[in-house]
Amino acid sequence: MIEPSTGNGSAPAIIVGRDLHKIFTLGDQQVHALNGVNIAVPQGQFIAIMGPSGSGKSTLLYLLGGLDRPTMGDILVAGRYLNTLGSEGLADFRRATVGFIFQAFHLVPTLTALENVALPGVFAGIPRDLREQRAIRLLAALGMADRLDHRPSQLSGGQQQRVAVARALFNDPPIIMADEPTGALDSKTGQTVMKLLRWLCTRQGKTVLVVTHDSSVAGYAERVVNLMDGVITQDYRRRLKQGRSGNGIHLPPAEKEVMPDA
Amino acid sequence: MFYELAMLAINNLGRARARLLMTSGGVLVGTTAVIILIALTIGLQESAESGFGSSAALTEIQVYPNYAPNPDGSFPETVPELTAETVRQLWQIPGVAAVIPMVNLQGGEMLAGEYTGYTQILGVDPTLLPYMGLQVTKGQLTLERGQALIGAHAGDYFNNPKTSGDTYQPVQVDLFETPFKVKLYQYTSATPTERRVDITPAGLLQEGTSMYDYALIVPLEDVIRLNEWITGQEIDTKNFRYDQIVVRATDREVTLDVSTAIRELGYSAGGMGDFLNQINSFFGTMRLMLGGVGGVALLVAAFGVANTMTMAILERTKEIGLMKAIGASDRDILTVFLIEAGLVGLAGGLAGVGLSMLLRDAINQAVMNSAIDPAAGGIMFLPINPGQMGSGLIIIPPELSLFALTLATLVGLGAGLYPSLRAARLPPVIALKME
Repeated sequence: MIEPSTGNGSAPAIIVGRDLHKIFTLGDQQVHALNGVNIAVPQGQFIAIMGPSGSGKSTLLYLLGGLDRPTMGDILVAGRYLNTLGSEGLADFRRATVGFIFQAFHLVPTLTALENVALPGVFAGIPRDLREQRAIRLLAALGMADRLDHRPSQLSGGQQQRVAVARALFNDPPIIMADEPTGALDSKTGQTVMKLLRWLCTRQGKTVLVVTHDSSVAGYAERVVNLMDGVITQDYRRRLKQGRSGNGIHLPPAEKEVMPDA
Repeated sequence: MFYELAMLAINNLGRARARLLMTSGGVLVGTTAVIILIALTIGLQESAESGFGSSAALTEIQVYPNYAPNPDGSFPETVPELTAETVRQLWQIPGVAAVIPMVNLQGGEMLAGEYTGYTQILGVDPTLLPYMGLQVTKGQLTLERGQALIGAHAGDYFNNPKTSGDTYQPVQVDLFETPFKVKLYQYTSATPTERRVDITPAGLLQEGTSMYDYALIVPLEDVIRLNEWITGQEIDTKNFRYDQIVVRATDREVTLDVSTAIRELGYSAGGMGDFLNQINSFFGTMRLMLGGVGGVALLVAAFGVANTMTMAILERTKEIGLMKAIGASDRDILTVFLIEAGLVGLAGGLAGVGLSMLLRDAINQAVMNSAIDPAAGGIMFLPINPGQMGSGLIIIPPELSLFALTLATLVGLGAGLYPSLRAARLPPVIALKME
């Protein structure tokens, strides 16, 4: 079997998908969302998965993040074969390994910003005061220190997405997966969020997967994978534009405080 | 962890308050129906029991020779009679606290001044008096030769034969204060010999020891001597027969067992305790039936809870997907929704207990008022005497409230189980994509 290309010779692959197929049954029709995708993502890479609607890019992200199971094929993420994990095992995997960011933010409307960020800690069994400390630090690092007790409906779109990013970082996962993270934001706010993700990759060493159909979003990635009809049509590395490396981004207040206790 | 999930569930309850109120309202109605209907049977049972007099009467079993025909209609050749051997047998039965043999005086016409009356006169060994569950309101609970303990109603049905003529007009005579005699006849010769015996009251018995209410209790020795005079024969000490034996059980619960054991020995046995057991089983059946009616109301409420939970889960499908994406396990989701459903049930149950107590007070007050002014009440059809009820028609013991609360919570949990399981098993990606 051909080992999927990592697109990056040196670093070990943290995500490997081999011959991935996903078939949805809609009524009596079978839809091949993924049709034999091979992909390997080295640790610390910022990768953009691009393609038109229905190309299977979100499906690929959900498979690699353990939110869905492939019809066929193997997935190995952070040393774990997802195929072999039961639903409890997958829950453990997602909790420890992946932080998800969604286009629609998916914040719980009845919880405050602080409680939303701390929610993963509830399922991880982290004590309340530790949970709150960590959530406050994350929100403060993302410039949301004065919005802790606001509910999602009292926050702007950009602020909501920052809460969602803080929540994705709560358990300090090595991988961040974002599905159209800027889709519901204006371009300026969208750029702020993308800079934040870039910074997490460059400075925190997170592996970042972003699904998007927006090429300006893909501009923050060092590798772009194009998908069409469930097949990878292009997979290339690119040089980052000036100012998008993440080195120049200033995050208030202290950068190292973004990291929760490991 | 459980606490945290419970806090999430409580937070969720705040979302659709109107729907929550209506769903809990269904549980409230069901719980109230269960509590009030069961409490009614408890109240009726207690007032029925209070009609049976003292609790002492409930451990009493009256044993008689069994004169009943065989099941095939023939009469037994020998009737098991109450002998010294019987007394010995009865003592052997487990749960027996006392065996009190008695002999009836063969005659009971009494003269008190110008009035006459008839009363059962029981001869009892005075040393057994402390074991008969008796209490006196006047005098002492002791018996010497020539003395009697007077039943509370023994003097109720006297009359004056000279004035009453054909119409019988009962007169109440206080046998404790009024000197009286017992009139006896000896039938050994063609013309009966009359004899009048003076009896001195030793004590007046308290009302409620039902079998003695209309009787006089005198020393066994007196009755035997008087019976000897009446029959003109000395008693046969070898084959002496008692007329009845009162057996006292150690407590109410074993009364039925003891009387069953006595019947197995071939004697006839009966008493208030026995009757009460039948009453209890009647009320038990009634409780099941009425509780079942309330249960139906609660069942309807369960469908309401199931519907509400299904709606809540449909509305929050995305949120379930999100919680799974950030690490919630199936079990976490199940726990959150089950707690939510259980809380809906518990809330309805608590409100139901509260409402039941208000209803109880209102109903009991209405019943008491109607007891004071019978013209005002339309509830005279009730088979009880409201004046006799200590705590009212509706009685809610703490156990009943606790039972109803548990039931309401279980109804919530049960109704929420299927929707919650469905929520827990939703594949996260499908939940997230749900529009």
